[in-house]
Amino acid sequence: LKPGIGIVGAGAIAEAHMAAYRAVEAPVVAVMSRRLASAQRLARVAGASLATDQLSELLGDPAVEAVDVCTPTDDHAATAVAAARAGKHVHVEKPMALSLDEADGLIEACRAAGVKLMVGQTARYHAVSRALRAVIVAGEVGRPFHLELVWDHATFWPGGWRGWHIDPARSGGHLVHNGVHAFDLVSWLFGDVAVRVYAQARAVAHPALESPDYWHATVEMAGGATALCEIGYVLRSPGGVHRSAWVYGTEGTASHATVDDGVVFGAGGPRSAGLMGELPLVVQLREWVQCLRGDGEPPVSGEEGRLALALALAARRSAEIGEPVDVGPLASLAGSDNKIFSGREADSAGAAGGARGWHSAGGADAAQRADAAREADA
Amino acid sequence: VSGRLGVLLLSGVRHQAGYAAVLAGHPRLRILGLVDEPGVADWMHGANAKLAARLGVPYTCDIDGALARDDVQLVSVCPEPTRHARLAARAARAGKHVLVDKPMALTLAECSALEAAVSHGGGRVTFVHRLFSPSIQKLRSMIDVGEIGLPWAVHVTWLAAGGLGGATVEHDELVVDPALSGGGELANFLSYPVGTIRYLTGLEVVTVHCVARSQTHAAHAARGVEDFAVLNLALERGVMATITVGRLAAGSVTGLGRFAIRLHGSHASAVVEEERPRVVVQRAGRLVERSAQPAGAAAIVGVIHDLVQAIEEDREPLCGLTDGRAIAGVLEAAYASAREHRVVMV
Repeated sequence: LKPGIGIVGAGAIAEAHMAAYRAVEAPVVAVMSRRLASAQRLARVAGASLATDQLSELLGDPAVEAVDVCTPTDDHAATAVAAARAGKHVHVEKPMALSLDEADGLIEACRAAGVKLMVGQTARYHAVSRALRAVIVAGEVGRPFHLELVWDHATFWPGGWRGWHIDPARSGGHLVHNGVHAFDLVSWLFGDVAVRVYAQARAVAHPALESPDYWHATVEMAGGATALCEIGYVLRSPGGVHRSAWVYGTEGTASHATVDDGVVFGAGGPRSAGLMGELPLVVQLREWVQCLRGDGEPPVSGEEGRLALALALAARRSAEIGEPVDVGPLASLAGSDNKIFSGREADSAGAAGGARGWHSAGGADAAQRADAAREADA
Repeated sequence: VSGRLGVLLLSGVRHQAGYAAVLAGHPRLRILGLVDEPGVADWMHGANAKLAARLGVPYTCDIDGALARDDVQLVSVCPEPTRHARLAARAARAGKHVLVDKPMALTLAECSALEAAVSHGGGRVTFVHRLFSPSIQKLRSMIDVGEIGLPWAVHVTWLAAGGLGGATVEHDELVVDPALSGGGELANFLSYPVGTIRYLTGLEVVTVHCVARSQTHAAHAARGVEDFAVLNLALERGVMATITVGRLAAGSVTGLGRFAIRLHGSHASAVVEEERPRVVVQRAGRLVERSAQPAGAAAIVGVIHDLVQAIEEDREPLCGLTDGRAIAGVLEAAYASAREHRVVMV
């Protein structure tokens, strides 16, 4: 069974999705874009039989079983809800929506229609992310208590001032548009939900940017762990990438830096090439297609996408007001416990006993920890 | 100044043995004796006596007498942190130059008392810092020549690995018992990264957001003090900084810990992992990695050499009272922020 995919959008992300579907041998049967010529171009490359500038036409095509929403973020919720109501399974690019109300509406629409919803949190599908999570789940670093995540990139604003990414009304701004990558990783790696965030941000590329293109944030998790995340378009060398991740645990650390992912020596000097591991988008869409073929749950649920969005919105608010922001109320749909992540760990924890103390109470209360230590000694 | 400066060790409770080795090896210094307060714990007397014997100098409990000696010009103050500022002030008031272990002071009130003593005595004061680490010096020189441009964000990671149980911390109580330590690893280590950020940027910290936790070590948890903290700082001119500071489990990382700096400037970014330049030795399937840059040793040699030069040249050392006060202010704000879950003005 090869589910037919309908792609909405014909920009760079849509092209990347199309290529990934081809890699996993899932047929793209229809492409819709408000610019018909763009839809036709992408449909031609994909071998899709339908190219249209009308969403209703794509949704009315019986060959389309699942819709992949690859439009700018301000269109995500409306298109995805329409797809769900048309009985199509939905894969939506991250962030899944611009607001929690939109996200809730999308989750509810998919539930009501009985269709599957996956949010494209691609950062989970990086080889390094999966390796770090495997280390954590196997308990190799003990109880993880801190994550340091750095994504420093060269300035990257496609479209210049015309680009929708730099318009907070369309993208949510850098803290939302890219923040959901980091914030999803924080929750996913810890298997926990955030309770508080404090963020600082700055417009680096140009002082008139309405959305800061650099930020860092301290995240406090319900279980007591912390995370320090930074994403910035700050490197001056063209194409420059410096990413690093450090997981600190009670018994060790796990770390990675892009300098180890292969190096390209180009005209602008040496730069990380990201040569290691399968393309994340291919891994992501392979899991989505497998989910469509079977009865399994989507590998990144709407609730998980909403959790990342809630944290990103709280971080954006924190950067605006200069104070930490409680995330708990925003994450209420997902619940304030860890249930959102339970049930997935058994798959990857293996038979080795899983992560010791992974979901145990963290270090928020030193006295509690002391009691726990005494019990362990006893 | 002619001849060698006489050095008095004032308490040998903490890192004094390591500092004494550098002091003893300096061509312009000679250690004359070790002194401590009579009322300290027996194990402290024992540690003092042992160090004095190793150095071949007398150990006494007559601080006034020792500070009255004309042949003592420099005092190395190295007790537990809650006595740092008070004993440094005592030496300074006696007109001596002072090297005090980090942190110089735990509170702004302690800073004021020390400043008054220095003003009275007229000597020079410095405290142990890491600014003479080769990587920090090189980074500063890149800023000074304009290669980085104007720094606008700095991130410093200062994480020791292990050290408890007598490994590098002589007695665990020295870093976990608030009566001796003044706090947890924030009190113990924050001086290093804050000093680094101020040195690289030339800017003061304006606000602090801090999350401090007991995460790894039972010794810290039992005393209710933090072994790990994350700070977000706002500096003057809108510059931002973060600090990750604490103590990891022994063996968590290669070398003594993770000491890293990332700096973004208007014209370049820089990444430093002090323990990263390393020599990898593999033998019969066993991998051994050694740091190629023992930054800590270079730093303390630099601190002592700088103080001697400052005395001889009648100038301020690289880190002095102003720096110690700035750091104490950040420390106080960090603890307040961690307690109250809010941003605190320094």
